[in-house]
Amino acid sequence: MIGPWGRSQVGALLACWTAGLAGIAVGWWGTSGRSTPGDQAAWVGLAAAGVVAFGAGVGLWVMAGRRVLGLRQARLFAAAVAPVGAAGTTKTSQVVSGGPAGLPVSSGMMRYYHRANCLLVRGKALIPAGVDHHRRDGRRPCGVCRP
Amino acid sequence: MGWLKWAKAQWDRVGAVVALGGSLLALYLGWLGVSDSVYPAQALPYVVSGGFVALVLIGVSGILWLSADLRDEWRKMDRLEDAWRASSSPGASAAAGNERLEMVGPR
Repeated sequence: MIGPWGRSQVGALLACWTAGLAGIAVGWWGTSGRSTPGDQAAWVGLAAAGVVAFGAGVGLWVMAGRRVLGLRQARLFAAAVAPVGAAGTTKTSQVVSGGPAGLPVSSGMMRYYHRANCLLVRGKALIPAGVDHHRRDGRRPCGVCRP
Repeated sequence: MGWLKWAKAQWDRVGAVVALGGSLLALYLGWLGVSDSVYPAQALPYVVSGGFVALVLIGVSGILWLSADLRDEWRKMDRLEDAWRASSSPGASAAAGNERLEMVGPR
């Protein structure tokens, strides 16, 4: 299945939906066979519980999808901007300096050089330099922003 | 023909719109039944079958549309990850394809 859901999420969704639809069907059957609203109240409550179960399935499905997608996004971005040597690395939040004439940017610890506005280097302290300079230092162009 | 191709590719969004239409139809049929009923006890089954089924179909519509959005983001992450792998180790991207970073949650 394409998407952030696994078998457990599909199973939970099907279970909630089956319970919900069964509750509504039985509730409808119960209300149809009664002649006074007092007798029907419990069956209507059962059908309402079915709607709640169905809605819970929907909510769990969407929340699970968003959570797994967010985790994957965080891992990918962390891996993409990981420095060569982790020792001595500082996590700064300085604004990226664009550099003159749109020069690609990087830092001493990075394996890739990027465009200044690349999402993968947002918020990092970087130094603009020419492509030759980056290549001489053994860096390669970012595959996402393709500087 | 182009429209059919688009509908096939966007089956989840088409399904969401169809489910939304179905919910409006269920609501209308339920309202017809209730309006023709003389006693409250006669109307309640229509409330359950029309109103509650309409709510369920709205839920189906919502989940289909949101799932389509999440799948789009998932495919975008696939492309980003492929690009990252290709640039970090050319030639090894195909072999590494089985170890995507997507395996982060309970599957």
